Amino acid sequence: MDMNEKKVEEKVENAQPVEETRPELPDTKEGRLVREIVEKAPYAEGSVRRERRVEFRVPAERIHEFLELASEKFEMLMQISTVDWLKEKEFELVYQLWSVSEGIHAFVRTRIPRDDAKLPTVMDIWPVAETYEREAHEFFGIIFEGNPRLGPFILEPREYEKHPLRKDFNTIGYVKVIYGEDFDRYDESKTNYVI
Amino acid sequence: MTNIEVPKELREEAKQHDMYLHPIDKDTYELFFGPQHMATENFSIILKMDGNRIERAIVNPGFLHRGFEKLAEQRPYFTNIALILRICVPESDVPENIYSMAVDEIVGWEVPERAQWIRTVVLEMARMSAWMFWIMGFGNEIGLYTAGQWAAAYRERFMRLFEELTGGRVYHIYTVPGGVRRDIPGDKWLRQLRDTVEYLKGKMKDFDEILFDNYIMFERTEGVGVMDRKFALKHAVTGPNLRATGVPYDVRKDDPYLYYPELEFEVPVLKEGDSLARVLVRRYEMEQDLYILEQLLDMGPPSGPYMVKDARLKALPRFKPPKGDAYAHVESTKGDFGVYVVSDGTHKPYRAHFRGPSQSHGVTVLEELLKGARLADVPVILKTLDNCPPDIDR
Amino acid sequence: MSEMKEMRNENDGVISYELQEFKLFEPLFKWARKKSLWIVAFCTGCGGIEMPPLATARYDFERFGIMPNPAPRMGDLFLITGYVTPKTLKRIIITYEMMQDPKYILAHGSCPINGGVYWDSYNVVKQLDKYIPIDVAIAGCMPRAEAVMDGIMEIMRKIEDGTADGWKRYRENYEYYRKNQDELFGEGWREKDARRWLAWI
Repeated sequence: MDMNEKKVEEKVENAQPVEETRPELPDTKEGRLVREIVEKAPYAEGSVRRERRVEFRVPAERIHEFLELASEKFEMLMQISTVDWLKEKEFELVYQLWSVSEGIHAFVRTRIPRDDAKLPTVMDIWPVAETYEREAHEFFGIIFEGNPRLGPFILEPREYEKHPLRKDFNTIGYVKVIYGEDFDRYDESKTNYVI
Repeated sequence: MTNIEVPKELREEAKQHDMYLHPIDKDTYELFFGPQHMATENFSIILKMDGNRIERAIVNPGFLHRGFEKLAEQRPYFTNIALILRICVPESDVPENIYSMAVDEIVGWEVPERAQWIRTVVLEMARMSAWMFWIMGFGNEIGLYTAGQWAAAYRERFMRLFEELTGGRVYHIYTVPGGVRRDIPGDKWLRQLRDTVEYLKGKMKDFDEILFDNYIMFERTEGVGVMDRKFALKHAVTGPNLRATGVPYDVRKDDPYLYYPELEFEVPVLKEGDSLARVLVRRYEMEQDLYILEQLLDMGPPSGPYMVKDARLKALPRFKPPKGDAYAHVESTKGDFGVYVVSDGTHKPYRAHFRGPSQSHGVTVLEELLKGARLADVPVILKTLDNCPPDIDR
Repeated sequence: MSEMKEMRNENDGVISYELQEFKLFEPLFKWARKKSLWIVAFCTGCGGIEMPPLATARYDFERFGIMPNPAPRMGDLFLITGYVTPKTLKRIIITYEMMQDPKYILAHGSCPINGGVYWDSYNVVKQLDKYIPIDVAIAGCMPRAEAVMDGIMEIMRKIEDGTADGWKRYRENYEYYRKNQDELFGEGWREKDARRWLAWI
């Protein structure tokens, strides 16, 4: 267990984002779409990852504005994925958008600080965001300003307060406290614990 | 309902005996629909009722939450296959496949042709068995039990084929990153699959007579739970529910994966957007799925290995993909099922976030559609949306 | 467990479950109970997917007098089909207490025994036997329909022997079970949550 954690730490430290110059957009439907959106929203960085996958990086304070613009091309919000970058003390939110008319999937990334995790809601653009935001709030503790239904949704109030999908939530320790220590398959002496 | 006066004696009696859950002299009351209900499958809806009409519905999921996304972060990449397939119980191959596709993309593996063919067959078989399961649930909900009995029996044919191919009836743990776990058992299995497809093709007519062309079914579903195209898109409804509102979006066509670019099939679309349209779209899709399976069998499995060749696969628990992330999705019977996998270069995924189709049509959409519906419509709306609670809870 | 044993010894012979005047007909009652097990239809986990094959043509448990029924008051057999989350366990306990005696519990799959694949999950109950009494447990994930049939056969045999005594254990050791339940959910969960679902509790 210890060894693994050490490795994770090392890897996370290495995972600093590298400064890169803006790549040339290819002359495909993806490239044209990205260029069109980036021209309207110069604060966003856009790139094409592969066929039918594009990517945008947007500062957190302008995310609502950008998504409103993007919703003209991308009709559906498939998911809001949250990634907890513990070492960088940041949450990365990835808005997964899908364009039915163009057949393109877009990742819209934004980063917010971990200790002051606040974002405006996008419920007014896509009503389905209510569910996704409730989930992200429940598991990570991100506050979406303007969403009226934040609170215990899937979890019970006790687990809800812990925000269990955060990286600093110790699952096995919590399990031992709540369900007792008499369950098998846990061995502290095993350093290289593989399930 | 509001005009009916409750007799005073009855009201007093009820109060004395504590017979009613909530005061009878109020017009509205609260009704707990599920989790102990056959239609909901461990999923609860709190209904604010005005007589027989639903004023407001509040979805209360979470009875099946196991914290998959946390558990996936604690297990190595290949061990996760045995875990994450439990997200979608009726078609457990879908989570396996999307996860494998995402890891393939992160590593940069080109999955061998033969493995792609097998994966496509497995996905289509999973779709067919899930359709049978859906017919069973839907038939039972509207009181046509015969269709349900038949469908459960036909599903067993696919279960038997799965068992021979993978070793498991419900959970297969078959598709892994880089290919599939073992080869097709032999030509006999392919013959059996073809027999099953032929058999079911003949049986579709029987299903038409007993369920899809049945007066009871029309009466129960027509005009119930209507949603329009704009509403469906804003609420990210996918799959047959979206196609019943007139949007021809199918992941197999629009974001093709595996063997689908080489196959011919149609995407059935209806415009009405009510429960009947959703049922009929599913009926046409069953036919298309049987047609796809037939085409795949006509092509025959391509020769070659069924697993990618890579030195890293020798020590599976220590298998480490490079840093990166990927989003993969497939068309399940419920809709667009996706996963977002983030790798930080260690032997465990940094994050695996699933997108169950019921997350969109099982919460906000369900709440909207139930508004103003009758109590008897609740199972119909639930089943025609094909709500799968484990998708929401995970 | 020693605690449980003590309590049972203490209560020995205190509670009588059979009416003395009908003692003669007890074998008949046992046979009747064995041959008409009604299942409370509560799909608590993924094992619920093996119920339709069991109830329909291929395995068809109706030939043993088994029938799924939605009403807990009419149920004899409670199938815990798979993992149990605390949120479900509350409903399971209330449903189980609503069932009439005699009642039996068949735990289905590895998860109710020791957590199964979810042994390190924060939201899955690890040892269900601490909260409600289990008569027969079937290991495996997921148990095949044949295994479930075998478990039901085992319950039938135990009913005939009189060893399927989970409902008696629950009465006798109610304090023990209640203590564990309160430890998991926090004191007063019945008043706070369960009263909202069922006002008469």
